[in-house]
Amino acid sequence: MLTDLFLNSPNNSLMTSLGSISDECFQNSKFHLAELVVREAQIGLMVLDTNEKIVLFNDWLSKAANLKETEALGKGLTELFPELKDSRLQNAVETSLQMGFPALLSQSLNRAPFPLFAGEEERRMGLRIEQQIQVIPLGSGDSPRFSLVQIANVSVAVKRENMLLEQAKELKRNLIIDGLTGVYSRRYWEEQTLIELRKARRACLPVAMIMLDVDLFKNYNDAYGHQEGDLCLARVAKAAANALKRPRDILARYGGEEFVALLPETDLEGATVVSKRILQFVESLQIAHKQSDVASYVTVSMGVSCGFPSEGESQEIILSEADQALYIAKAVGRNRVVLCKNKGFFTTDGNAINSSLPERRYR
Amino acid sequence: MFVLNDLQQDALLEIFNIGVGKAAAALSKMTSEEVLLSVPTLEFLEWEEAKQHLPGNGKIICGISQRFDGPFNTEAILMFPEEKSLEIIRYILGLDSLLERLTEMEQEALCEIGNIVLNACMAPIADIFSAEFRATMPEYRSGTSEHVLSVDVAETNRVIMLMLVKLQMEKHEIEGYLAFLSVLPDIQRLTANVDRFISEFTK
Repeated sequence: MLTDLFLNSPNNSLMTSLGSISDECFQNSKFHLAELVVREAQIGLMVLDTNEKIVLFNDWLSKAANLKETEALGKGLTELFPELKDSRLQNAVETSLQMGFPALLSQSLNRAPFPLFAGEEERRMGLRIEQQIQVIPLGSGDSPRFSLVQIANVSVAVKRENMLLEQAKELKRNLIIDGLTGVYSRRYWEEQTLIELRKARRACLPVAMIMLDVDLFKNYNDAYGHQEGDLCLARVAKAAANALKRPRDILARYGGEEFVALLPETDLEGATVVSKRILQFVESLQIAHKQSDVASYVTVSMGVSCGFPSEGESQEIILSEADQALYIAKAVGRNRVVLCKNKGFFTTDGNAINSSLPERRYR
Repeated sequence: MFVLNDLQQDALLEIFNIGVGKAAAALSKMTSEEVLLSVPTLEFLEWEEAKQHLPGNGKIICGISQRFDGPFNTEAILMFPEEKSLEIIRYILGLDSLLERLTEMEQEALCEIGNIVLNACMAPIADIFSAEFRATMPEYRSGTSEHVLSVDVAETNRVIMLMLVKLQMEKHEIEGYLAFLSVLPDIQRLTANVDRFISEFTK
């Protein structure tokens, strides 16, 4: 059957060049086998002679290009594929014929130089096969040179890689955003804090931080269930994030029901305004909380601190002060903001709070 | 170790300089950035010694190599530090840097860039020698420079010709190298060809 296929094939170019060999001898020869391999190979194969005329055009290519072998043979490369004129591919074929140098045309840099399609549907939609092309010089020196153009279908690899990139994007998004609440992740907050502190140190500007805790959240969970608890956290987080107005201000989930805000180029006064706004935004949500002894709705407590990195105040120091202020805000009744200033603690009205409470260690 | 006399050495450097200039022009065209070249250095040393002279300081580099066999045989390599290869390829492809390693397709694209640069470099050299080089397909390698420029172990006690050119792309602060490695029997063929070039030039 293979013999039939071979003998019946039209206008066989390699066979005409081997005309002197008898049919029987040819059928048993290596040439015969090579011819069959080229014909049946599941890859595009095309050979051009020194004059850049096509002398071989295999079945795979014939099918993908929707061209009969007879239509291709004897034609010039750009005669058959006019869009390849002055392309990198034409250049590569010339170089291979003139210099004997091979060339690789990657899919990333060339996409799909040949108008090749997997089927009729794809042809109608103009979806080309993604191609990786190798241009290989054949023969050397004294004998006339040929150029073999080998075209591989890399559509599957391209699809796989696009999926990988999509997943990488998704992963990166997950690193930046906290999945439950939709505000920034702690990891992203830490990255940005490093950057902002460096900027502040150089410019001698203050950086403020707010630590925020949802009051009696454990009671809320016990009363309404974890699903409602998650919903409540997301709503509070969104309200708090909305209270931050400048693009470089960042609210992140610190862990559990704790959140932290980073406010670059902000002094204590500015941070106080922001924290009061957060308090107000959360209050206006009016999320019912029947297990709270603070109010009938969900409230938050905040600790605010501010520092100058240029004067040696590190992230740890500023955050630890905000954390201590938060601790005091909770200890003195919750649903309020406490400021830390010069190691002392104050209400937003500027009244000192007696902080004889045991100092809380920074985590 | 003196293998070439001064005249031969100068002539060889000049020949390579022309090729390297073409290579830099090709790279510059692809990245739309000026590529600065250092003066090539040419050394004859044993592999053990040559290893000490390789750029990269033991860091991971990416290299694209092609073997050229002709008037002399040489392994030509274009190499960049790993993170800079990512930057170059993603700049050319206009992609975000999401992954810390080159993907398969990016490696292939880097291969193509190496192929264009190395072919551009060797074409004028073949012209000057009015001879032909048979070249292999570009191959992507990543590792320390010692690994990327790996020389056949059986040949390591032979003298190696190491030619190095530093490529600098200032906008992206990228430093790369073009390296050519040949082992001694080829160097003898090379000197014969260089002599022919000199005699034709001084006729």
